[in-house]
Amino acid sequence: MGPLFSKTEFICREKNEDSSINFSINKNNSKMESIRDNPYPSKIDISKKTSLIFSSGNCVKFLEKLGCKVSPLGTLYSKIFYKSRVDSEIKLTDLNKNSNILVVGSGPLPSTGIFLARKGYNVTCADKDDVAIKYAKKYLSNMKEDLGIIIVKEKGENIDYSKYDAVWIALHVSSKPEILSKALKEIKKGGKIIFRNPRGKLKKLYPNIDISSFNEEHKVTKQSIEQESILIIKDNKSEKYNDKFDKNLCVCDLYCGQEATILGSPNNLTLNALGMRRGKKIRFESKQPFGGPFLVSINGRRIAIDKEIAEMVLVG
Amino acid sequence: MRILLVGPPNVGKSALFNRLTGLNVDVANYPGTTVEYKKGFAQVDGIKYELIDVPGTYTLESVNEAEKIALEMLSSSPNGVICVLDAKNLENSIYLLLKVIEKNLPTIAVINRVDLIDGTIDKLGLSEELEIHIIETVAIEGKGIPELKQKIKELLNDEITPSKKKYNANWKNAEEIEKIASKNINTKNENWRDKWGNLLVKPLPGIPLAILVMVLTFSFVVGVGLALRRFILLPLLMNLIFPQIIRIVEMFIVNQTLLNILIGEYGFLIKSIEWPIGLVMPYIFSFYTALSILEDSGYLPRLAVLVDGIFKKMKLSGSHIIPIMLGYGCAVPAIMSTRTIDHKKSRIIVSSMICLGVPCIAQSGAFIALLAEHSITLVASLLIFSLFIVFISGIIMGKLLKPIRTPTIQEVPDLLIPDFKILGKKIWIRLKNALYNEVFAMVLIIGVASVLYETGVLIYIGKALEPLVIGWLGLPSEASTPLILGIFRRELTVLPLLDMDLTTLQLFVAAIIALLYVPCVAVLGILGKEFGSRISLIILFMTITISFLIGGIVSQIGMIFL
Repeated sequence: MGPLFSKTEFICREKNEDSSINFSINKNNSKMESIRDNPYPSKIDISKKTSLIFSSGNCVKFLEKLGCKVSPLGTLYSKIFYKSRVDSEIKLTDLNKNSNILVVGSGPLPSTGIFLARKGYNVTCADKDDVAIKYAKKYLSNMKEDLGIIIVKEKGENIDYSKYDAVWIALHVSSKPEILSKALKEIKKGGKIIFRNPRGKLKKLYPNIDISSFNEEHKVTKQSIEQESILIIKDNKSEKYNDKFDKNLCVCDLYCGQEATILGSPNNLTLNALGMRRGKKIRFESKQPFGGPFLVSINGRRIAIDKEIAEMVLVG
Repeated sequence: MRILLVGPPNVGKSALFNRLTGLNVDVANYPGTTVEYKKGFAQVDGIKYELIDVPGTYTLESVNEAEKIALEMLSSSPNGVICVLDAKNLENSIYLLLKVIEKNLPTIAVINRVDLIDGTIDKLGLSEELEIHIIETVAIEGKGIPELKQKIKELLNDEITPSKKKYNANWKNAEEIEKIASKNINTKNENWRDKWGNLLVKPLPGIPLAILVMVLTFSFVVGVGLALRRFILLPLLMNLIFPQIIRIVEMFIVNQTLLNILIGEYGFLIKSIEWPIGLVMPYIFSFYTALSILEDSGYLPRLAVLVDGIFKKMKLSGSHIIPIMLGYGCAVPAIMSTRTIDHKKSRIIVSSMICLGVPCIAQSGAFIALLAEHSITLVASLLIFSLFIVFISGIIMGKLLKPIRTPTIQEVPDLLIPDFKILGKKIWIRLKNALYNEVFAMVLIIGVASVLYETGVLIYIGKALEPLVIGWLGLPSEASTPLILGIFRRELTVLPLLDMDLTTLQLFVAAIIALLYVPCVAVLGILGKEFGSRISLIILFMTITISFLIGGIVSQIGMIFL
């Protein structure tokens, strides 16, 4: 059985997360790209936990595979871990009948997909792991009812999300921030995205996405086993922001003494702590000579930031 | 009993620490890391406890070394935590406090700098919201310290329990709690401190003012040092102490060689008192006074921002000017302070810049003694030459080593009026450390030197170096003495020149060589310890080559024109 997270991916991640500056500065890429690709500050501290996630991911997989082989066990497992959760999530999303739903990271035992399909939605399950796909297909064909679930082998980063009304993202998926931002970018207006975040002790184990710095309207419900489900609804608001993103207005475009509201800032904990967060008022004070830093103030606090960073702080 | 003092940078944590501990302070390195922290012992009503000044952090997310250590210290089951909040930046402070509360330790929250806000913080509301004890202080004035000590006593007697409120430590919660606390705070009009705080960091008038500040600092260091030496210490030594010493020595010793070694021209007893006390100490005092005032007034971060563009050309950050300024005191603590730089290549560049172009205060004192009597322009041109060397070596090393530059994100804190008590304490601790370290080493080397001199060894070596010293550098043959002694102590590249009758050109050439020459043995030691013996040897080789090369070129060109 293949590990849930590929090792190389983790090595890259660790490097990214370890450096005190959490963003890359690409001279050629448009600066907006780097922000729009990752608007969700990934408060993930993966280092040291890598092995733990590996083992826990494998453990869940093992349980699910066992459930696939011994059908009654699988049904029991689904009921214990997923039924109430999916029920509350469906309540939260409030979808129309016949909506098209995608489940990313459905695993060898696609319980979420099954419960959703039973409610009458058109469900597609996607997983990047061959073995998981094989098991899932087998499990579905062994079931007495035909739920019309489509199973595809695809990485979350490569899926075209524009076809779906709602997207479920599993707790265990790797590169969650990337998948989330791609889904949010492509999904229809009013489309809904549900993802699961760890709570409490599980936070130490799984990547956690910080919701407080979210750009979109969102709702949260607590779930059992130290988890919570988060619903984001894509609305006109985000379109508006995207338009502004395209205008490329950044702190450097302000004149001395001009004040503006921050629409997006690089994902950096020190910057966040200094108040450089969405919605805050920022004032451009001065530009230092010899290609030196930009001086801005937020709430009366003066901060010097390099030009490369100033270009990534979007204002409107 | 162990209590941690946690808080964001620039909150006045050190002032609070000083108020609570007094003079009894150690600076320690966290095991296995490069981050320094202060610890000291204090007591309330006879209960002694250890207070640890945890490195200042904005968050507790272990993104950098300081935060990792702060986290580790919080997990090492201390008896309690004092979390310092910044009245002027409450939101960030509350976020940090929420993170601290998550650790489930008995916690006292201190809101410092309450004098800087217009209005009052809703202390009761905040206290009820978070179920935590809150004290307001103005640490630099000592306001609120008795109340804090009372609370510390309760904490030490186990009367304070961890907060039971479980908030998620995120920005949304921090913003909401901040709203509760700051409902009675008015947005304040700019006062003179804000106004000057802004002006000093704007290119205009910031850069002219920075040059003015540097000129004033230079004049202060030279002026105060010279005055102390000439009008207080030298008369004291010459008229009172030396005659006594000579009288006593002559009473007991009759052997002429021994007498020469003790009180002769390089007499051990004379020079080992005159040089450290009469020559180096006045400048140690004036330099550290000036540096401490600059530090405590909050000017240094402004200077760092102003020069950031220049340092960017060397692929360094403006804040690296602080180790370089420390280097004008002594290269050993300066190189140790480069530990705060995260990349090794940048550290090596800054350290080499210090070794090459920055004279330590002892050497500067010697330079001033050597050159100022002749003409003060020589001192100024040497300083400009020193800055030039620092800049050029930075550019070249930057090109060669290609360090990774961390993008600048720097808070520019408020200007402060230094508190004279704290300032005095700081200067005293630095003076004491410098004297302990300097005087002993200096006395030892002077002892060795006077033996070498009187036994004729130095003259013999001088003969061997003659072609280099006389032919290439244009100096008298005795000038080889300082080149030998200079390997041990930087100022000894200069001091022996004092008694030689040198021309202006010879003085300048000798000064340039002395400046670029080998950093002292202690610096080579610390370089080896920090970067390995290979780097240490490379820097040793580099400094010797460059000093003879540039010194010779200046001498040869000078001889053509003069």
